[in-house]
Amino acid sequence: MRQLFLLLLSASLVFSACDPDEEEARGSLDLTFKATYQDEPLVMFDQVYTYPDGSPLKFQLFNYYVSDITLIKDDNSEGVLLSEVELINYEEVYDNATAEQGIQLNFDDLEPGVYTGIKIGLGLTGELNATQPGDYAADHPLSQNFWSWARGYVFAKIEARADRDGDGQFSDPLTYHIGEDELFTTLTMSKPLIIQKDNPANMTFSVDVYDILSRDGNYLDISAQENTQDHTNNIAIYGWLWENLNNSFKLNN
Amino acid sequence: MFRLGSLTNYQDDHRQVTPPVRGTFIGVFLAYCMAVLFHRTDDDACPFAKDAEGAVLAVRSAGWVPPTRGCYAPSTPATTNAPSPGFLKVLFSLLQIKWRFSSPHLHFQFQTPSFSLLLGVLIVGLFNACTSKPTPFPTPSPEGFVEMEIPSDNPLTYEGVTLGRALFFDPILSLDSTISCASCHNPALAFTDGRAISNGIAGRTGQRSAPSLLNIGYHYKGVFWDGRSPSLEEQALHPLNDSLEMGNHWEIIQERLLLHPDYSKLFRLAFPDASMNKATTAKALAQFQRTLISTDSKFDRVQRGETQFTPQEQRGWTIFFDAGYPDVPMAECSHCHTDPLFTNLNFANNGLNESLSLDDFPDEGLGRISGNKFDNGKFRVPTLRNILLTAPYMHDGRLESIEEVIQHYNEGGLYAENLDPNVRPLHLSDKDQQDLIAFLQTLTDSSALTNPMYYPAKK
Repeated sequence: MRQLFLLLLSASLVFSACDPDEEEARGSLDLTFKATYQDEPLVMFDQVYTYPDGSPLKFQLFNYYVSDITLIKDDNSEGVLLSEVELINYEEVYDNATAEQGIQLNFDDLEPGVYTGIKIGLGLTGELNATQPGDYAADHPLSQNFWSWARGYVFAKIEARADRDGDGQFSDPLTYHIGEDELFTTLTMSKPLIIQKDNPANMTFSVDVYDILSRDGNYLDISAQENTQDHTNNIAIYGWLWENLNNSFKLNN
Repeated sequence: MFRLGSLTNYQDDHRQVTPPVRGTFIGVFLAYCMAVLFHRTDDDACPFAKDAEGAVLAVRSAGWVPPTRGCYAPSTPATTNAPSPGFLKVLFSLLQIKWRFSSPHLHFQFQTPSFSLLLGVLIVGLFNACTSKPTPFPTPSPEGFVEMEIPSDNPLTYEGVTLGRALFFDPILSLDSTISCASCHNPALAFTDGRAISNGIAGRTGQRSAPSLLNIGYHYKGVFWDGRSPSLEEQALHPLNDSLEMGNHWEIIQERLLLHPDYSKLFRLAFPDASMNKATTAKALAQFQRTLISTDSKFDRVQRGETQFTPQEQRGWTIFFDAGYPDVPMAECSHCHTDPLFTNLNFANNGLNESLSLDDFPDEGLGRISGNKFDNGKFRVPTLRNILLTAPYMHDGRLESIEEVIQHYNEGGLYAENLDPNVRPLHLSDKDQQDLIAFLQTLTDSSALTNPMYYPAKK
């Protein structure tokens, strides 16, 4: 009798786990993160851009962390957490086609329903920023970009070389590394969104790096050595750059 | 006349069962002898590792204590000659059969099938005793280190590491049997060779300097200076075939290994489900390399609160990590030499060659592998652990001293379009440079240099 009971229990578990209706009912969402410079696709190395002071500029690195990516439900209930943390990294974007494609994140197995928008944290939450690479696998987004001396992560990096004297050599390095707890910002963006089976939803975000380096006609004077580099040393520089990144981050559709 | 296995003499009188009963006893005895003979013990698994007693004491680490059993702890003989579970199964089965033969009511019914059963159990038991699965080896997990990525088809095992260790130090792998992996990766030199360019067989000059292998198991973005191998398994075979290194051919290596008195057994123990082949050779070498860990430099001990930097080392630390701006100058080192590995595992152009065109690098490095011209002149960022012991420096050993290295970076490197923007003139004074060197000295981990497990085992 006991064996029969166990048999029936096992069978019911197997069948309930394979309920086709339940599996098919899940939806998916694609998030795309694009980077531009004066509305042109941002490409590493291969494109010459213009710094606000007119100097030719080539980028080598642009990346930033986003955390606590959450879909907002239409009933104001607790949202659906899509991802705890992602590194949006353009380091290997070498051509226009790749740049236009953007960095894509795909989320499957989402609860169908109507959503009103999305919340994205720029940078890392205090909780995440208190962790360290040793807490993660080697390929985890938080296994890198860590300042051990400051016990925190670099939220965003911009690295480029400028040709200030116009001799054709990009001899002037620019490096801006930004990150500290107080900079973390949660952006809430509204967009009606329906998650349903067989019809992946999508959202596209963009950041224009020119708008990070320039605002209202103001920009860092890179003829001054102290303005060519900031590793969260001078809040007048890194605070300004971070604020510009926040302002530049847009939901496109 | 009793013959083992002559259980077909059906007799009505149970006293006639005596020969089979005797046969069973003899069978049990023989089974025991064979099981003991074939049973693998930890000691058997380590014919090259008789000298590791006390080795553990030589190693201290932050969060990972080197294994204390199996091959690496022959001081645990209590289990050495104990019957294995496999043998006990055999014995237990045989005793059950013996009882059945002793039963006057059952012997007629089960004599012949019982003997078959006995043989079957004997064979299965011996097979089980001889083909035990390799013993898992703890994955190195020092505190503060990222988790080491280990391929699912090559988990660390004591037997695999033992085999890899034997192969690593054995010149049998080179064509003229003159050099081993350790010839270029000498544990006493932090697994480098002290040469600008490594030498292969017959004094042939290689192409680049031998990089340190300490903590190499964490290099998941590619190994070799140019990142040509995505994994240690893939990497391990390159030097064997490279005409400037070991210059050998797999067919020759395999023949030698097969003829060797120890390797067949070592391979069987390490990879019981596979044959001796290229893949298992590479896997064993990769396993051994993943055990090469450095976590006990003065820097590590300071991190653990066990000691303190001197004022000069402390200032050097501040310069290294750019942690004292604006009062202390920045050396920009830690952008690439990120602790605790002291490498960010990436590839960079650190300004060794002036190149007005990205196509003009004398050694294209990563670019030759990736096919991307923007990667030309980029090389793997090496670890700085034991850096003061690994001169000469850079991928081609062009800089003979650490002072030259710091001078190179202090001047900002030579121009190329893809020169890393973090390489820029530093304006470090002589004192700054000396303080920086004092800090780099704290990255010396002598325990990793003297660890007996990183040397060939005594036979």
